[in-house]
Amino acid sequence: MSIKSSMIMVILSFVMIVSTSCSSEKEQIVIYTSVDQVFSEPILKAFQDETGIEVLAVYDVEASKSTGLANRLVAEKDSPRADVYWSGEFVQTMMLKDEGVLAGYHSPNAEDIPVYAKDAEGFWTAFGGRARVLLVNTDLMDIQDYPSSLTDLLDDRYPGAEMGLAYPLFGTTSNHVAALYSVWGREQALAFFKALVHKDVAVVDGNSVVRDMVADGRLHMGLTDTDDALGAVRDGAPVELVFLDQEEDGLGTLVVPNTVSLIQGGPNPENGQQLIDYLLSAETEKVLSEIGWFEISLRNNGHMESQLLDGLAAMAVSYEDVYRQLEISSADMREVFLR
Amino acid sequence: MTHGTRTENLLITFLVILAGIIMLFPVGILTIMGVGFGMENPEVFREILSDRALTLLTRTITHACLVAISATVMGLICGLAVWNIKGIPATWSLYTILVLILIPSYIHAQSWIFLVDRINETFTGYDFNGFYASWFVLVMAYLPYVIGLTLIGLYSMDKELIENGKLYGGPLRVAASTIIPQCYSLLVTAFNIVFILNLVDYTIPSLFGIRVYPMQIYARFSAEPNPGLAFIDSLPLLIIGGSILYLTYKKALSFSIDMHGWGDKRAGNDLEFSNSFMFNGLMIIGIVVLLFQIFVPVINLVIEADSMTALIQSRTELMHTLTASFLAAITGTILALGLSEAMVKSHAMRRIVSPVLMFTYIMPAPLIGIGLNIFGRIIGDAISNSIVIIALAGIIRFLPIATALMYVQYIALDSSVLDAGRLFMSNYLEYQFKVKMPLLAGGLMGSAGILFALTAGELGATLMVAPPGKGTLTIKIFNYLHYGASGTVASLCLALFVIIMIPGIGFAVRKLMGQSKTE
Repeated sequence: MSIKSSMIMVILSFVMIVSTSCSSEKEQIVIYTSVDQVFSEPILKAFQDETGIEVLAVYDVEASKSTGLANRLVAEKDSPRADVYWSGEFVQTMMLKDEGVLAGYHSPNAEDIPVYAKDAEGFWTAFGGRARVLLVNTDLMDIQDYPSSLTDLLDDRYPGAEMGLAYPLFGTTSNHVAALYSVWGREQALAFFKALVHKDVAVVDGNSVVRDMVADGRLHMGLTDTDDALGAVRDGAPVELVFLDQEEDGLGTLVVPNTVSLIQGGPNPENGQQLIDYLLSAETEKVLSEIGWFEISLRNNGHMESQLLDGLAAMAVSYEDVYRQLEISSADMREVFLR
Repeated sequence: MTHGTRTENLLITFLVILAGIIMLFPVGILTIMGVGFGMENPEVFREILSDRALTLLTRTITHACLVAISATVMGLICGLAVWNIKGIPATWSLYTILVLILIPSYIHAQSWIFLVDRINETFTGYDFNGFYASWFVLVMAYLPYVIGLTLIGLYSMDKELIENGKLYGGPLRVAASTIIPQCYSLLVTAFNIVFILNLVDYTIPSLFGIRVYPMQIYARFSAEPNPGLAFIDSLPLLIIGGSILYLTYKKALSFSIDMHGWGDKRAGNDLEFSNSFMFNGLMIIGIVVLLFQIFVPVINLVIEADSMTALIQSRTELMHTLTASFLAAITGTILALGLSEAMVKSHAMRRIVSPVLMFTYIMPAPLIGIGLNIFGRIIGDAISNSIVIIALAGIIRFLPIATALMYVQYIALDSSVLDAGRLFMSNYLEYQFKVKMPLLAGGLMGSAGILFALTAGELGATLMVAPPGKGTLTIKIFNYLHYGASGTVASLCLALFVIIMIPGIGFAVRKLMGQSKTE
């Protein structure tokens, strides 16, 4: 190696570091999002193109959906790096409010979002929605054998190895667990999940993995979200969506909205507000619905964008009730699934 | 080995201290937190012996062991096959393997998944997933490393020993009685590298739905962000990895003694092994596997890639990946040079540095990420909020491998040439750049290449330290993989593949041109 080539190496390293580190004098915004990168990235790119504000994003990975990022925000509370948190669920967002991580902001674009979907002090705003669904493989199951209720999953007709769910500590699955704690009570809900573990049900790294395993035929059925399930339908996989507990007076299925919040003490609060306005606009909601991220709008009394979801019976449970169960349900699920 | 000049010794001391800070600080903080947490909460030790944890651990060890054994055996066969090729194809094969080593394992994984998807479409009913799929892909991904190490062993063998061996039996017998024992220490090293890398990482198994113990550490930390608990969770992997390394450490290092024979009596590819049906059969298998290894990634990625749009949209991630990998390669190689030189010059230093390297090497990737996050908060935003933190993750994880390579290269040097260089060169810099570096060129290139490639493909630690807006291509590829966007993933993998190939091809062409001029 000559002195000349060594010098070239050193200069090249310096130039590369400087070019990637000192990004610019441009206005910036830092967003942490647990929304799948494939959906959130085009939206953030469009915001950047429209406003000229550079968006620095931290995306979550499937295995630790929402929880990993929420914990990171708590850890950074004393010197926040993020301006906005956009989540694919709501309970972690409510936890962040209690931890003092969030700041209040009432977006003008949220005026037509119903009151129940907004924090009174503006710490978070919910929008859009995905439903929890049982995805079944139609090659492996006959329609008359489909379960109709969550509790059917404990039936001996359905071996544990043939069904799956994502880790109940993360993402929408953790919301689903907390919701069941709220409507069933701790005893029944804990017994249900213990029974699933006893059946040796497949616990995988995310709802998309459940979708893939059902679509590939490695599982007969699995609990997932509508965006993942509909993705498999669009790909032509032999699958069908089954909404559980839809009978009259039934439990209904949980609808999980997105939430967006401003971070307390974030470095770019004004840009943060601008991004929140953008995300909460009816136009962005429409785009998110068109690209397949969610199918339900909280505007217009929960109008379903998708024909498939029309007439869906949603679980009658308030966000606050679900959130109140989070601490105890998470502790139980850690005990049941991680120890 | 002679002692260097005062400047040289100062420089080495500086590099050893710097490497010590980079490697020990994050890992040390975590160790202290772990020990403290364990002493306050002794019940957590019972949790790591729960049925669930033991099941995951057994699966992880079985998986890593199967991958390492299979890759070592297949790597030996492929290495022997390449060693038996003659002329220009032999040189091309050698440089192709060098280039293949630079390709991150998930690109291999992705290309094999694409291939099997196509086979599935033709022969329905076969599902490429689960334990065996993960095993197969990882064997193919790590094969170039084993072939590379096997070839170092083969080319450093004493020709006379092989000629003598041929008097007593056919090629298989020569391989069993002479070649394998002579390469044994390098094969053990290859097994070590593949086993440990698989023991502490979860990325490829998770792609195939295999839950392994390192993923449990990550999941637990995500749900319960307690660094001390994460360290306790990692103890089983540290104990197993440490034991394996301890048991094989002396055998692996014994190769250094053999390396002194490199050069004069080097066994080349002029040995005739053509009249054994079994041996020739194995060699054909080796060549076929190698051809698959070369063409499957390229062809599949080209077929699957959907458009250039994904690449254009990912130019920022691509730039971050290249910068972090380049920085890790340059800094890590300099540190590896300092560490290896210190180890060669002083037995006491070797006793101190080796366990530190081994301890860092067996650290699970998420644990390094957690430690580095704490380190980042101490050292401030200038580093923790820049691409440097990602490079540091790569350096901490892969410096042990780079140092081992440099060490092997270093002790193969004739120290009298270095002494002569010191005497005849007019100044220290001239000695460094005109004598020492050219003599160590192989080790430097190897260390830099390994650091570059492994950092480019790193996920476990990078995921935890990547600052806002500084995501790497690997993170993006994994996020898109989970969504099933295969066309986009193929485009991104292909881009990375081509970029990694450029320096490799340049190096190979330069070497080949140099060779033809010499001829």
